[in-house]
Amino acid sequence: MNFRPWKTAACIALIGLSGIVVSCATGFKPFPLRSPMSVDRGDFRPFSPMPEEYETATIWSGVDEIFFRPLTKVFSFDASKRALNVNAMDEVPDSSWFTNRMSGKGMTPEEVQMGSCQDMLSSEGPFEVLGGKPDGFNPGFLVLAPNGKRYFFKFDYTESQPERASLADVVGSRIYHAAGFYAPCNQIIYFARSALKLSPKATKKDAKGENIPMTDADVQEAFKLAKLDPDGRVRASASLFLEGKPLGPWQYAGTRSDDLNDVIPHEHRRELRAGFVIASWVNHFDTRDQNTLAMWIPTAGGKGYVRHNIIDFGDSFGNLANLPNISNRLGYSYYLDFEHVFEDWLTFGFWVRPWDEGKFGKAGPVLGYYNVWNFEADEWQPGYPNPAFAKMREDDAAWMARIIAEFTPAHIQAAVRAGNIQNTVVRSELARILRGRQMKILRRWFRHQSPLTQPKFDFTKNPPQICLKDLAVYSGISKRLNRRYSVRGWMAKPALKDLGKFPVWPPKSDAGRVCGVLPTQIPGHDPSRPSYLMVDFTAKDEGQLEPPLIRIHLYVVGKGKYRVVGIERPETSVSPFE
Amino acid sequence: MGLGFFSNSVCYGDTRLETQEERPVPDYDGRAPADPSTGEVLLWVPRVVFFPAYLVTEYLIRTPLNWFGRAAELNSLPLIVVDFFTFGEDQRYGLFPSILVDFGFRTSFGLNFYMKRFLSDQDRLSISAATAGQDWINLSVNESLPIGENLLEVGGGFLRRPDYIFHGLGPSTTNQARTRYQAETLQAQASYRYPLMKNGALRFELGLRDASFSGSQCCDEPDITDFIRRGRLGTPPRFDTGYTALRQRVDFQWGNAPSRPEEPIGGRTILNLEHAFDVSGNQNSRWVLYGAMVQGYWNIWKDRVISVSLDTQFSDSLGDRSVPFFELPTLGGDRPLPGFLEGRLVGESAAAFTFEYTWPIQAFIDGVFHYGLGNVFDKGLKNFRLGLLRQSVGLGMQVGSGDSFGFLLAAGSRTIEEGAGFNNFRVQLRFISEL
Repeated sequence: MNFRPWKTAACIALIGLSGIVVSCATGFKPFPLRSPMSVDRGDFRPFSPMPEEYETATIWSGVDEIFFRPLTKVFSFDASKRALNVNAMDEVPDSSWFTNRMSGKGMTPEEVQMGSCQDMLSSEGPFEVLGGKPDGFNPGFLVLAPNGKRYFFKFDYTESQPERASLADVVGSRIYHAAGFYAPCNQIIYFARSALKLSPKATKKDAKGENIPMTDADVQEAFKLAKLDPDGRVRASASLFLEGKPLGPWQYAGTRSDDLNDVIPHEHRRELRAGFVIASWVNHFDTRDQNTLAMWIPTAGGKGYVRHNIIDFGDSFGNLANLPNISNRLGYSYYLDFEHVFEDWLTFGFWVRPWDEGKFGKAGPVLGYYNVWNFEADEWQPGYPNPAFAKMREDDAAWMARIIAEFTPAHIQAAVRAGNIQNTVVRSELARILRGRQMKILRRWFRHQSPLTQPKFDFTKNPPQICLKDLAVYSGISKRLNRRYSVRGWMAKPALKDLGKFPVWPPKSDAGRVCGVLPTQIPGHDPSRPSYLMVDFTAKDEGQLEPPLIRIHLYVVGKGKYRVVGIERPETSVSPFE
Repeated sequence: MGLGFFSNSVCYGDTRLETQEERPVPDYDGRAPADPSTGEVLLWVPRVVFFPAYLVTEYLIRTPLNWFGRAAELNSLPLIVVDFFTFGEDQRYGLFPSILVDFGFRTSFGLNFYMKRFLSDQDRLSISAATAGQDWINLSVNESLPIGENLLEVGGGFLRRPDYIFHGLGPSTTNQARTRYQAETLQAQASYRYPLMKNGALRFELGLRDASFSGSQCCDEPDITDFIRRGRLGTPPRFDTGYTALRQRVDFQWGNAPSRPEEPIGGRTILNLEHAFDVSGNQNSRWVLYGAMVQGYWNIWKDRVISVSLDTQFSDSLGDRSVPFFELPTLGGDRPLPGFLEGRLVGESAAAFTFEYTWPIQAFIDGVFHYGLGNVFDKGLKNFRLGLLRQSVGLGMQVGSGDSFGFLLAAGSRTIEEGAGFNNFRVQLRFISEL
C-alpha cells in the first residue's frame, strides 16, 4: 500500500475538526439525582488470591523517572485530564488509599496528636530485638514490645540535626494521617539501653541482602550512632507494624494487575496527584515508591483487599544530606534536574535561585533549610520526578488545599506535640513554619479555584438558604470584613434560564460561613418532576479581579426541598450553558 | 439551628461481583464523560505524527531498559558490578572506565585500575590504559606513596598517538597549515612533594623521556612529512632525530586554586623550572623551560567565582641545538586558551591572560566561561605585540576541576592583526567514572 502523506494529514485534520465540532456542539451535562459517592466500596471488595509481594528497585526507579519517563513523555502529548476518582462533590471518596478525616467529620487536635495510634507505647520495656531495620538511612531495630505488638525502632544519629529525623517521622505521620492518608502509628520513645534484649533468633541483612544472625555487637553499634539524652536514654521513633501482611511498595503510576480492585491508574488518583501539595507543606521530598507500603488486609474465607500506606517521613522538615551542596536544594530542585542545569548554565548564574538564598533559621541546623520565606507552593519539587505529581492539576491541588485549610493552629500544635521534641525553640519554629507554609499553600492554590466548600441548607430561614464555608476566611488568609461575595442562579430544568443574582449573607464570624437565599418560586416548576438549579457563589478579596467560582448543582424535589447533587469549580465566571 | 445537609451520602461499588474478576471502573460522579476540549482534540495531531517516536522510546528503549534495570538491581547487579570493578576487602582494588571526546582528535576509551595499600598502608598504585585505535595507545603506571605530609610519586608510561597536529611554530601559523604526525614517547619519572607551611608546596622531579616522531595518515588531513618535503613547513626541531631527555624539574606553588565551597578571595602563584639534556649522544643539546602563573580569584556571591590569571612559559637552548619542538611551550588543549586544540599553538615562549567565571549549575556541576587573550612567540616573547594576540572564548560545564567530567564548547581566533575572527572551534567531552 502506498503511503500518501497528504492523505494522512487530511485525515488527521478531519479528525481534529470533527472533534472540535463535537466539542463545540455538546453542552450542559447535568449530575444525576443521586447522593454523591462518599465511599468507594468496591475498593474494599474482598478477593483472592492475595497479590504477590512486589519488590521495587530503588536506584532504577530514580533512573527511570529522571531519564526515561521524561523522554517518553515528550512524544506522548498527554493532555492534562481530570483525576478519575473524583465524586460529584469535587471530593475524593474514602477508599483503600484515602479516608476523609479532616475533610470528613473533622478531627480534634487531640485526634490529630494521636494519629493512627490506638495507645501509646510504654518506654519501660523489655523490648525484644527481633532483627535489624531492613532499609532506610537511620539505624534501628525490629522489636517485640511488652504489649505483644511489633515496632520498628528508628534512632536519630545525625550530629547536626539532633531529634529531627524522629520528629519528622512522627509529625509527618500525624499530618498525613489527618489529611486522609493511611500512615503508620509512629511515636517518640525514650528508653534505656538495658531495655533492649536480643532475641536468639534475631537476624539482619548483610550488604548482599542475605539474612545473617544478629549479635550484641550489632546492637551496640547502633547505640554508638544513636543520640542519647542526658540520662543516657535513647530517643527513637517507634513505628508500629502495620495491620495485615506486607505486599511491598505500591507505585505512583499504573495499576497492579493482581490487585483486582486496583482499576484507576495511580497517576490519575487525585489523592496521589495532590500528594504534591502536602509533601510541599512538610518538605517530604523523598516521595518515592520505596516510602510506601501496600498491606493485604485479610477478611474471611481466604480473601482480603489491599490497603495503601505511606510510611516514611524521616526526610521531612529540612533534612541535611551528607553530600555537600545538596541540602539547600532539597525541595527546590531534583537531585539531577536537567531543566535547572541548562537554565542555570545558559544564564551564567545570574538567575538567583531559592537554594542560593537558603539559610538556617532560629532552629539552626536542626530544621535545616526548612523555612517559609523562600517557599513557593507551586515550585516545590521532590527528589526526583513523581509521575502522579506530574499529572496534578489546579483542581487536584485545590482539593488538597481545602484539606490543609482545615488544620487550625491548634491542630498544627498538636501534630508538633506528638514529636515530643525537647528543644523548645525547635518546637515553636516548626509550628511557625508549618503555619507559614500552610498560608502560602492556601494563597496559591485558592487563586484559581474557589475556597468555598461544604454546601449545607438552612431550612430554618424563610426563604431557605444555602450556605458554604469560606476556607479563605476560616484559615485566616483572607479577612472576613474584606471579603465580597456574590450569588447568582441558573435553571436547567424545566428550561434553560438565567435566574439572576440572589441575595447573599456574608459571614458573621471567622468560621467563614456565607449563605445565599434560594428562590421559593421556580418558573415553570412541575411538582411531578424535579427542577434542576445551579447556584454560583464567588468570593473575593477587595481589589481581586476575576474570582473563581463554585457552582452548586441541585435538584428541587418539592416545595422548598432541595438536594445538592454536584459541585463544579470553574476558574472563570461562565454560563453553564456555554 | 436545623441544618439540612446532603445527608444521604452513600457507598458505591458492587461487592457482588465475582471476586476473581477485576472490578469495573466506578462511575464516581455519575455524569456523562466530559467532551474533549479543542486543545485535547488538537493534541491528536502531534500525537499521531510522533506516534512512531513514542513507540520507539516507550517500547524499544524504556520498557526493555526498565525490565533489565529493575531485574539487575533486584538481583544485586549494581553491587556485583561495584564488587567486580572495586574488588577486594575495603574496595582495595578498582577498575573504572574513561572516555575523552575532543573533536579534531580521535576519541579514546580507557580503563583505569587502582590498588590501595600496594606498598604501605597509605599508598596507591594506579595503572591506566587507553586506546583510540590500533595505533593509538596510552599506558601509564604511577605509585603514590605519602611519607608523613610529603608525597613520593614514581611512574612512567608509553604513549603513541598518530593524531597530533602541527601548524608550524610561532604566533602567525594558519589553519591551512594543519598537518598530522605520530609521536611515540616512553618516559619514567620520580617526584617528591613537600608542603610549605599552610598553602605552599615545593615539588622536585627527575625523569627520562624518549621521544620519536614520524608522519601520519591520520584523520584525512595532510601528513607532516609531505608538507616538509614540499617545503610548506620547515622541519620542526628534532622531528627527524627524536631525542632522549634526562629532565630535572622543580615546581613551586603558593596559594590555592578556586574550589567549592570557596574562600571569598584567594589566589596562587606557580613557578616552574626544568632543565633537560639529550642523553642520546647529542652532548650539546641542552635546554631549560621555565614559567610562571599568577592567579587571583574572587567568590562574588554563592560560589559565583571570577578569576584572572596570567601565564607565561619560556624555553631556552643551552647548547648548539634547538629545543625539541615537542618540549616547547604550547597553548590550547588543557592549557590556557582552550579554544584551540592541543598542539595548535607552539612557540619558544608563550603568554596568556585568562578571565574565567564559574558558577554552580547543579550540586556537583559548575558552569565555566572563559575569555583568554594570548599567543606563542619567539624566544623570550621577542616578537610580542598586541596585534599578534589571539582570543579564546568558551562555555562549558565540569565537575570539580573537570578531571572526572567536563564538557566544553570553545572557539579560538586569528590574531588581532588578522581581524581576530574566530576560526578554530572545539567541542570536548571528558568522562572518567570512578565507581
